[in-house]
Amino acid sequence: MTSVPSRMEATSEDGAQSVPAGKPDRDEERRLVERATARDQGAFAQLYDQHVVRVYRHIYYMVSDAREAEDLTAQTFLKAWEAIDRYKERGAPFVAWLLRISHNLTISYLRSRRDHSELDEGFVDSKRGGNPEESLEQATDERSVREAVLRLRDEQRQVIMLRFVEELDYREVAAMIGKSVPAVRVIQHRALGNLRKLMQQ
Amino acid sequence: MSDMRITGLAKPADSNDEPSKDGDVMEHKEMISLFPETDAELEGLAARIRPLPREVAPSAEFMSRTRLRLLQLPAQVAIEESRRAA
Repeated sequence: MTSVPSRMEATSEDGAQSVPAGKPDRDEERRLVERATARDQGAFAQLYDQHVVRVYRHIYYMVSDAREAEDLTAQTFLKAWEAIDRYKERGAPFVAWLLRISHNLTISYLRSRRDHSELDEGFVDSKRGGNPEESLEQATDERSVREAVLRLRDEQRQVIMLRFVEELDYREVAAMIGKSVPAVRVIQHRALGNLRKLMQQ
Repeated sequence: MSDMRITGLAKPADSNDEPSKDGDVMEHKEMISLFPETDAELEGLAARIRPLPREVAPSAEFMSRTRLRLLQLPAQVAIEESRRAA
């Protein structure tokens, strides 16, 4: 282990059980969800306000295009509204349900686009700046990593994206996916192992 | 790191759902031996998974337009339902 705090271990995380992040917020959210499931559009709009950026960023990571990410984000919330009365709270925060919808929509979209690997070359240049050669190299690396991440199994991909793309700590990820902290650590370890194999292919 | 103790990892094969209930404790070295890769190898890979820049966000125009659309949906649903009922 290096002395520099690593991305794998840098965050506080060693609770043995999953701990809901921000309990008062969860209670408030639960109330909003209850109202939304009863077709209260105002409550659903508040849930939208709370989660739209996160859903958008999750989709953007997969499609790398702002317009496509916005379309898919809107579709996610439209689908969520259609299905909201069937939503069942199973311990994970509401956003986990939204992210699952957004993921399924995005994967379908990418499949229909056929060129699954088509990613926006301008992504790095426009968003990160820097030296063009380094940016190109970085873009190529990011593309191969992203493609491999998208090929991971559902649960593993989710953990990898939450940990390293959204930079949540183990405890937050555990709360998001309804697992214990040690389970998240194991899933992450296996996911990285699989990611490495995918990238060697 | 090497003296780190991790609970609930006594069952290696696909036992990643819950910590073991009997309070098993496994040394980190033991856990690592269950996997062919070392932390250092995987750490290099983890470092390549870059977070999105903070400025990646939907436009304000999109957010307000979509919010308005969502607020209008219940009426649309009601209209469709009444059409179906008719």
